[in-house]
Amino acid sequence: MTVYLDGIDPLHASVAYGNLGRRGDLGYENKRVAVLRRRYERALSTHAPARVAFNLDGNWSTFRCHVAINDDVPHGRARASFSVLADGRQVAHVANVAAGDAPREIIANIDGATTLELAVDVPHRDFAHTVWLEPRLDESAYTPPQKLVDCLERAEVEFVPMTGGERCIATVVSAGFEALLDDMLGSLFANGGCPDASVVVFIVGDSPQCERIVAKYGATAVRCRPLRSVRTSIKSILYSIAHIVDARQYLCIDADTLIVSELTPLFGALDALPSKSILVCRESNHERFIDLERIYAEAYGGKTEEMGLFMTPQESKYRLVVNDGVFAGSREAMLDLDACIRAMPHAIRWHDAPEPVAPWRNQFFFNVAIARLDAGVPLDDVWNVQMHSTPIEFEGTTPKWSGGKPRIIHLSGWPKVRFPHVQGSYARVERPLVAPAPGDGYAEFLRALRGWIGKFGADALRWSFYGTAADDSVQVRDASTFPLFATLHYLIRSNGCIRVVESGTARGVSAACIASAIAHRNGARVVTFDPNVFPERDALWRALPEKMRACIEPRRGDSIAGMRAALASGERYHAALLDSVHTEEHVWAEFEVARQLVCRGGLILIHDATLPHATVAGALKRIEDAGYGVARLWTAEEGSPEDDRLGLAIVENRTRA
Amino acid sequence: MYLDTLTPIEATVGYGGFGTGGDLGYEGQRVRVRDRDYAHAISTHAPARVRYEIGGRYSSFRCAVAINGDVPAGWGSADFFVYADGKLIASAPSVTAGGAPRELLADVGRAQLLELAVRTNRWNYSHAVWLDPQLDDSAAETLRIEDPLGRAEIVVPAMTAAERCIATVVSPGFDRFLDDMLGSLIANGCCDGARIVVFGVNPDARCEAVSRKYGATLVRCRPLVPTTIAVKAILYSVARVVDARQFVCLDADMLVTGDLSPLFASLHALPPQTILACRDSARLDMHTLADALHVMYDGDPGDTEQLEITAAEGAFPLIANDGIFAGDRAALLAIDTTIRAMPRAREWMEAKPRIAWRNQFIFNLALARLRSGVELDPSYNVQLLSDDATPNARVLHFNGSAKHRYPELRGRYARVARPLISASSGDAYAQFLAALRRWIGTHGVDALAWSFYGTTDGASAHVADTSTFPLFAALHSLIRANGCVRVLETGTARGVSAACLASAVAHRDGGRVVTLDRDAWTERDALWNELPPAMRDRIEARSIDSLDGMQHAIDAGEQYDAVLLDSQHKEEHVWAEWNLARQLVCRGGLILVHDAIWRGGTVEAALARIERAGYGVVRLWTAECGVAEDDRLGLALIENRPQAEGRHS
Repeated sequence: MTVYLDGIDPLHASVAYGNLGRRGDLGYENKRVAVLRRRYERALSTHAPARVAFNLDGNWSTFRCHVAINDDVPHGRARASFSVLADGRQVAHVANVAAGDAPREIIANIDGATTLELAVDVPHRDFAHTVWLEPRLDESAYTPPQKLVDCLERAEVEFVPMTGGERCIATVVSAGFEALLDDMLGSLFANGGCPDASVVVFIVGDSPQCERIVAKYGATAVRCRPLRSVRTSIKSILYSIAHIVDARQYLCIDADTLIVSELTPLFGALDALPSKSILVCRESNHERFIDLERIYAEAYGGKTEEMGLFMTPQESKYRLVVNDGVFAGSREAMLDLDACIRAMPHAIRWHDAPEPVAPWRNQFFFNVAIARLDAGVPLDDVWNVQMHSTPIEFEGTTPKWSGGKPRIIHLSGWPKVRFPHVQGSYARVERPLVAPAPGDGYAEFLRALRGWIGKFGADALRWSFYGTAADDSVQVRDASTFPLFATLHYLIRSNGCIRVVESGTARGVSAACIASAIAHRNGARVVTFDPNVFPERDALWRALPEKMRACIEPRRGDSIAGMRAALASGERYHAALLDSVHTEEHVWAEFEVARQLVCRGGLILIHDATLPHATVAGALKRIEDAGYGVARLWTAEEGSPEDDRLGLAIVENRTRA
Repeated sequence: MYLDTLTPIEATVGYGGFGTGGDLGYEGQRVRVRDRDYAHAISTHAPARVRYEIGGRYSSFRCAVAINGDVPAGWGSADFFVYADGKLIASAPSVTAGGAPRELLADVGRAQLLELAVRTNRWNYSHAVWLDPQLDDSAAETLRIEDPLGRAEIVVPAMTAAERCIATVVSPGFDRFLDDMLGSLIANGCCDGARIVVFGVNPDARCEAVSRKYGATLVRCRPLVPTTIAVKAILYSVARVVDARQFVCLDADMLVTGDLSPLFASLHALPPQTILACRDSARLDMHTLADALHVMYDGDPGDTEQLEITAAEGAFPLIANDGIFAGDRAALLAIDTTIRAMPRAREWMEAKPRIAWRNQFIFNLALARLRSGVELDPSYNVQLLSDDATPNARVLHFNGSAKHRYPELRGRYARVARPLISASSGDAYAQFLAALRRWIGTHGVDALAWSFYGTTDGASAHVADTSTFPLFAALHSLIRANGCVRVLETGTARGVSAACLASAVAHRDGGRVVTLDRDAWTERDALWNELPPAMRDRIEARSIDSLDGMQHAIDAGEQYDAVLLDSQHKEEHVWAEWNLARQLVCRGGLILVHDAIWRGGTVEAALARIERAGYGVVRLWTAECGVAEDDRLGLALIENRPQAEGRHS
């Protein structure tokens, strides 16, 4: 079944001018939708910038339409980028649609989505008469293409099933470059500081050795069938990466590089800069090529009389002339890049000239696209120190360069082996560090905690690990890492816990901390008991990432009764934190249940172990007398105390006998 | 005093000789820029470094910098830097051949050493020259400076150097805005460790109290003209007042709702002359600086000439709102210098008092002149005068008449009586992990054999979670949270756990890790060399048998807050180490015993004896369910206090 979207009332519509136009109405100036002189009776008109959202109820699989700028706009007077979002996630994007262009097709997977959002962004709102032609919802299953040809038609790229991820680092390689790839990946894993990024290697043609190297680093291999002879220009596969790998941010690096420092600033910059930005270094680390016109002739063998085929006079004066050995962009930016190059009518022909002067002409079109999209942001030269143009030396294993401290050394040009005492130092390592990286949950907990404290004040931490013994106050000596919470997190995490039970939820701080320690594991659960609901609790939990928040299960009621009920219903846990009523009898009673709920050898933690005026010490004595080993943390009589004489007792749930 | 009349104590240049008195120093040429000869000039073909001993006699240094006129326009470029006692005090990035000389003015601050440096990544034609370089030995008060537009006099306080600075400016009446801004910054900005500086223009008691509340440094400023919004020009001089490497400047009428750390990350990624700022959203019909001059700043036809705006500057496409901007030290010094070098900027700014924000145009012009402006994502400065608050906003700007929009957002942070203010000690564990990853990169995972991540067969290693290495993190946090300052280890091996321990104590005065091993493993130094020096220096490796070493330590009266026993895994040896350890460690301190359940050893028997001696022993990583992070080695945790005593502690 198919339904036209312009017949459905939107949940929300925001357009920059006039009204949302439906059923072929432009929505302003009493005009109708027409593109290339064809009138459309089924169309949505959204003067950009615009956002329109629809409720789909999860009933549809595919969204189809064409997008364009209405005929009433003079050719070239407006450009726009169209996006389709399903449940907030971008599922299609068409960039750089100009007035006068033929309509561009969108086919998007919206399977099961409950909301559909159409968005249009424009550099200038003048004449932004953007239209969605014959927009329709289809129940038939979305069938993704099995293969994709890159934007310069150098290779056919196979789709491989892979999870998206936040960040993707990608490179492309072919036979003969295996040793370089090995060092590049080895240096990336050693120095890149991005353990959580997915690493993707596009392998062009057959190379069992490349496959082995990719497997050695636990990277994802994407196989590509060359459509032309394999040359430098095969790097154009990376221009199309956003169509192949689903990620939020991309960093593309040539295989003939060595990564010598952390790459995280590049991803940080992508977070800080406009989403259209593409970060890239200047060609040859210098402004010798003052604009595209100059490099067109000098580096790419372009003829003056043909220049107009490839770029406008304004683009030819674009001053950022770049080397594509390292570039980074958001998903949106990379989709724009691909679309922009695909729309260049003469690019493939010029690239395929019988005897090309410059086999790296792909890079020229990369440059033109950056100019056309006005997307280039120059990186510091240290991120792509190009050996073909700039001398570099090593003192021992430390690179020295007059332009600064290199972060990525690009072995551009020939020979490829220039530093034999350094090159190979990664490749020769047989077992690099490539195990799974489930992320730094503790950092996410701290981020939520800081935001929460900002609204409720430091005193909201009272009766948490950071409460004080003497009064109803709080003392945090080290707000960089909150070492007391870090201890709780890593005791739970390093002990392999999946399910943890807590008594005494209070404001939910320790429950949140425990959740951050287990949320990466399947089946993670924190069950926390309290007869009262503290009003600040939900605000903290809401600030946690969804996956973390979802594993907290508060149960209202007395802790002992709740734990007994849990025991009776067969629940079992890997650890317990007892932190409710601090009397001997209560703690002992809780322990009696906890030792049955927690697996053998699991941890039972008891907070306020040394709290003055409480009688937890008496309970701990009974636990010891029952044959359990007990160790009290934070009770040393020397050093620089972090807590205020509250103490955390650890009990191994296994009797000495 | 012309600097070229002094003899440097060191002069290194990239080509030819060091030129003084107008001599270029090579090819028989003279210093000549834009058809003007210079009798006093220093010529330093880049890369160059020249150092002078000036003996604390001078207060300021001024000159102009350029590429000599013998270089064709556009053929050479270089970055110029001036340091006083190692601190960067002035910079001029990307000075290109053919360009007008760039003025430099710097506070020497009675320094002993003055250094001129020129860097380039292209040696050819880097004919760098310093024109009319002069040191001023007047008794001028160097602790007070004017901002570059003459709005206020800044009293420069004594401050220690910082890596990052976040600065704002406030005057009486805006304390509530400041309170919300600083509260939201600390809550949401993720900038732990950054120095917060508040420039107070005639600050009243309320401004002072708010600054104190957040542990901010208050810098007092005396207005030189009636205070208007243009007083923000004070922030253009922030790098001359605060000794930091990176800066973020925020208006006080902002709310920080998201993470600011990407701004600092960007400064690491982009060229050092970069200034990050958001596009001004006041008018959408401004596409160039020339547009802005007329649309936003009520410019007149003669302004282009008055402000010497070139065609390229007029066409500069980034029209910035200066509510938030960020830059490295060099970039902000260059902004200050560039604005000071605009002779008629102040006159132009004051010509139309109705347009009180003309300072912002001068800031924009400086960005264009330096070609240093890079556009930030608009979410970092959502200008509520023209835009609505959005869920993805990271900084909300209640600019102009938008001060009273979204009243529900106001006071949310200011009403908190006790924000989270604490001295930052940094995330040393992250530094340890970075060093560890680099080391594993060249030694392989198997180098972790016999560490916490070793496998039971001792041949290899198994890391189930490379994001945080939870076993090392547990060690780090146990030591750090227990307040340990001095830690002893037996069994150094490749030095991994010693490095981890060092990361847990390095931030404390007297932090020390003494590690004992008869053998020095070859990979050890490579790992320790990867650590930050302040961490590495905490490790004291002693080549000695552990029992002998511990006895020597007792004999020498050494005391520790914790011990990690991880040398020989035999009952008798561990028992002997334990008996020494409990004398060395303070009462209630931690004694950790690794390989507690390793089947290749007999540590369990030693632990049983320790238990029988009355000590509580808890074995971590030995649960019979869950996800195993270690490979059946186990870490025993002992409180150095017999249970009978612990009951009464």
